[in-house]
Amino acid sequence: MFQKLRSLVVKSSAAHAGGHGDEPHVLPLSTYFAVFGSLLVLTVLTVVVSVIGLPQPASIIVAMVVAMIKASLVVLWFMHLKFDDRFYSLIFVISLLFLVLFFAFTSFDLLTRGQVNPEESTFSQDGSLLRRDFMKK
Amino acid sequence: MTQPSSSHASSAGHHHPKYLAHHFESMAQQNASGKLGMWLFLGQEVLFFSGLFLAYVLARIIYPETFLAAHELLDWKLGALNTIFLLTSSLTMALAVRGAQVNSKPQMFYNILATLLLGGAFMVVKYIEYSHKFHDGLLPGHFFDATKAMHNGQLANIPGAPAIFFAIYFVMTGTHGLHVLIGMGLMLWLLVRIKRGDFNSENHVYLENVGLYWHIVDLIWIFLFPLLYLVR
Repeated sequence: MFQKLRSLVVKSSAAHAGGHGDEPHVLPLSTYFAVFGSLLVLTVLTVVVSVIGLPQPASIIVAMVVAMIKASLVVLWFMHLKFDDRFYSLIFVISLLFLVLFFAFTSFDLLTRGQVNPEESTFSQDGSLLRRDFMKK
Repeated sequence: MTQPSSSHASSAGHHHPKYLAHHFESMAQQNASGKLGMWLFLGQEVLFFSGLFLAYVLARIIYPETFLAAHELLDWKLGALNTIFLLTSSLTMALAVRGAQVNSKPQMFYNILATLLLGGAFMVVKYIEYSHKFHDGLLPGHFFDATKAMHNGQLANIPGAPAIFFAIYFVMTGTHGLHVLIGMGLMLWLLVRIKRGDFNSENHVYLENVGLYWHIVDLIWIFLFPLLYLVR
């Protein structure tokens, strides 16, 4: 059943492994060290950006974009998703999709509940002060 | 040690290595099933941690000034050191899996040993950080006492809700640290099995799956480090 599912959903990993069927895809050592080097450089970049102290929205955006590039390097090369059966990528991407849904809808609720019922608003009328009572003891 | 075979689907009928369970047709199918299960678990891990990250995002939307002030109390140098430990351990883990692919027992053994030691180094730094926080009274939730919380010998003055910040800090890094400890336990088990000669280029899905788990733990730290230590 799994084989059938596989053939329906994914391109076989054989195409990526250079046509050698189920032989493991062995990457050259230099690839691993290149990925590791990039990860270290990006870590230094995150720290430098924080120490320089970019203005507020830019700083968090840069930090998160760098973190996402680092995460992609780990997932694609160290975890072999780039070369492995696409079905595993599908599972991983679906989990990220649900993560985005979770974040988006909860944030919508927190940020816009005041439009439905001002009493429940996270923010006060003028937007400057925050109603935080619901998070206090 | 069983000789690895170069079997393919065509020869799967007569070739039956001792580590091929009888309910699988071939090693390829057995390995793919193991990995499929691991990826489903990793999907669950992503969603499990997403709850903690969402709590962080919401608390930061509501208390931006708390996060800006409280991150000064975390030592980014220790955080950066731990980032380097975990990134290096991810490299040695990937090299261990490569060692299995090229059928090298020493490459498997010493790379897993290095990964285990780097995980241990991470936990030692985490212990130093935690004991420092405990000593200074920077504690989560209702354990936080603003009249006793110290920073550099002075009373820590954090606006907003420091108790919530430290609750999020301890729960996120604590859950992550627990994952590191579990990973270290799995590596001890791998070391025993490698020593016993259980893994070769054909049969190493256990090693590969522990590797995938370890990389996910590294991945979570890649996001935790800038979010907790480098807030600006």
